[in-house]
Amino acid sequence: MKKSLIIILIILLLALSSCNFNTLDSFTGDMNDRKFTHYRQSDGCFSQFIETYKGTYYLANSFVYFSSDGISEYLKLCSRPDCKHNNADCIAYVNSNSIAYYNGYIYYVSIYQGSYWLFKMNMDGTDHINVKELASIKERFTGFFEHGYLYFYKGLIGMQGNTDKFIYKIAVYDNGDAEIITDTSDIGEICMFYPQNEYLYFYVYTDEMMYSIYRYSTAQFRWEDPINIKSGPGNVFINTDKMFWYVNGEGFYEYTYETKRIEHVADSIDSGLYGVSYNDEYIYAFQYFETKYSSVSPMFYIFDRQYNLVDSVLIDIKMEDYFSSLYVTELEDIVLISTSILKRPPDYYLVKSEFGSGDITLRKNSN
Amino acid sequence: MKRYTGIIANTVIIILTLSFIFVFPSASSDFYENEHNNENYMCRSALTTGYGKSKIEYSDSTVLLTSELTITWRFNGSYTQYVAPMVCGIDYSVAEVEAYGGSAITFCSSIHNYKIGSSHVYFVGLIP
Repeated sequence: MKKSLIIILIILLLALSSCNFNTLDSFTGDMNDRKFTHYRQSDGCFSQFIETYKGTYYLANSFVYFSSDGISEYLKLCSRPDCKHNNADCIAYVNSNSIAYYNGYIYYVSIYQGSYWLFKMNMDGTDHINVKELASIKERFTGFFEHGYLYFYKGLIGMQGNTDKFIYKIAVYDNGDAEIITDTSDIGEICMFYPQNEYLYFYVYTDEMMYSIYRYSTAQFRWEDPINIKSGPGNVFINTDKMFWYVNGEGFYEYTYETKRIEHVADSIDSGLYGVSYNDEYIYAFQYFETKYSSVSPMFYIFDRQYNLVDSVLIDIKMEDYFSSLYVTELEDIVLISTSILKRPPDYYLVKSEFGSGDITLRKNSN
Repeated sequence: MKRYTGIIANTVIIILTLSFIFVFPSASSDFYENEHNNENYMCRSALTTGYGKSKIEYSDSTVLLTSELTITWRFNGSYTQYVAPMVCGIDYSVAEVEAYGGSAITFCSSIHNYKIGSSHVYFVGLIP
């Protein structure tokens, strides 16, 4: 009798251990790589920057650049001696607007023979391979990578004319087909979505400056009630328990999923226009130029996660794009700054060890 | 003569004042015409804050044409600009593509790129 019970228990344990309870189990790459493969929600750009164990990659004007540590010179990812790196023949040219890292390869989506295709290449930029067809030219395409998967819909972010309301998920590392993971028909016209661990977050524009943010659990296959906020995706950060956002002229807010409560937690920085990035230790608020020929340089404020001002620095450099974010991303020891986030890789940086000293130096990347 | 000068001066001042008072919808467009392999082609490009269009026409209807449109945009209420995935139209004789902005976003700039077969024949950037 005892023996039979033990055998039954062993069988039960084995069966339970093989169950797929959450998305962590579906990650098939090196677990140490997870810090490199998450969707970079806090960046000042969408999917243009990736960090890997080899160095950092940046996508600008359809070219992929590489820097060994983020502050050394960013070079186009092409080592052909006869290449001028200025047209589509260069292997650094990927004709894409998003890149991702997974398990030793760089992935991107580009147009090939009349369709949007998933491509992969080696980390030195060689061997571009078209992996899977994703959508036709007429269907259009928007997608975001996380942990070896591409989440996409057949349409364009925020634009009219999108007819397919499904969200698809496809693995980048095998030959499997895309699967539909949810239908967005009931939540209205989505203007943005992205994955973050087991959740997908959807932004729906409802009224003048009002966004409804929906959350869908890919583990439990269910939607949660939306939260209505007066801030676009550039000023919002969401984790499993909380949503954080900043409204210009009003201040910082938090929402707790469990209690369903919105709290105004800190006042606005000043009357200027700011973008805000939330990171593990710090919150960065970076100012936008209000006019094309502004004579005032933008400010960069550093807060701790309790909204106490830690430090600030005047970004006293000539900005090329007055309506672009000057903030690119945060790495372990530095914060990257760009004078033209869409046209070129990061060109300045701040050193985090100087935060709180009252004497932060804006440094230029080495060339 | 003095009277006419005064009227003209006043008219100029009124026009200038009105042009500052009324904000006309921002838009820009471009037209380009040339020859490729002794056949005529035309490229028409347009961008407003909520609409973009690229169109190419070519006399030789046996060659595949491509119109590519890449738009930079921002969310209303935010200021960071993003690049949308490229959209394109592929066809014989006439290839065109359009993009309509939804209520949540504003178009900031666009790149219009045109190909006849595999040859890039023209590109232009527009700001609304």
